[in-house]
Amino acid sequence: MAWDSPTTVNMTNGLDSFLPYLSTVTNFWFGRMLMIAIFVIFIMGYLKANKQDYIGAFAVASYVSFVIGLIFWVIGIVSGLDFGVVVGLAVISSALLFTQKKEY
Amino acid sequence: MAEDSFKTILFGLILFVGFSWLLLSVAVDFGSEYGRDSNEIGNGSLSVVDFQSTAEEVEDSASGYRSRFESGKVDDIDDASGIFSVATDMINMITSPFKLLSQVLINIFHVPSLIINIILGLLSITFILAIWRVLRAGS
Repeated sequence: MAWDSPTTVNMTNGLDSFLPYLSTVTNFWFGRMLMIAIFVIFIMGYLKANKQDYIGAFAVASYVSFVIGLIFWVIGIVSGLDFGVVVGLAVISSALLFTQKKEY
Repeated sequence: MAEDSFKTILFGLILFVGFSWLLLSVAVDFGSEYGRDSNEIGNGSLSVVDFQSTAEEVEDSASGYRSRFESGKVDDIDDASGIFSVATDMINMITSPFKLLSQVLINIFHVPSLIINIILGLLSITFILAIWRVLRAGS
């Protein structure tokens, strides 16, 4: 498949033009790698602060990924399938977070 | 121990349904605001149409519930906005978390209907027994 040259992109709209082009030429892997990096950074950062709270770390990373994934999906950096995975992660983390035993 | 487990499951169920509803509503509304179709999420495998229709039904029930109380006609059984309509709306509001939970299980996790019905049946029996326990304790 022949990819479009960067010079064919109309840059008058700024990143709104460039980012979809970047996703197209990388077959959405640019957005996927960014999402994976954000997820790993947040889960590791939370675990650094609370070493035993794995479910909390998973939930925080999932919610942050959901918010950023929503923006990425709207501007076309990640595909709908990738965003569906992020939504699924957020829902699963909600189930784990809210059903763990705690004192009310 | 049993009471604590039930309380945890109860709060977990309510919060899980609420958060799942919130997440999907945000995804659908935010996407549609910027020209994205919700069927794109998961390349169509994540069907949020049924979920959205259920959420709209719940919203309509809540609006009707409020308007009947605001109109002050809750005891007028001859009117269309009578006490039976209020009772129906109350039952709809009580069962709405179960409806939303089933929609989340169907549309996100693709759980078979048989398993969902078993889970909802067990939850219903749990709630009935919990209400019975409260009545016994009160008496």
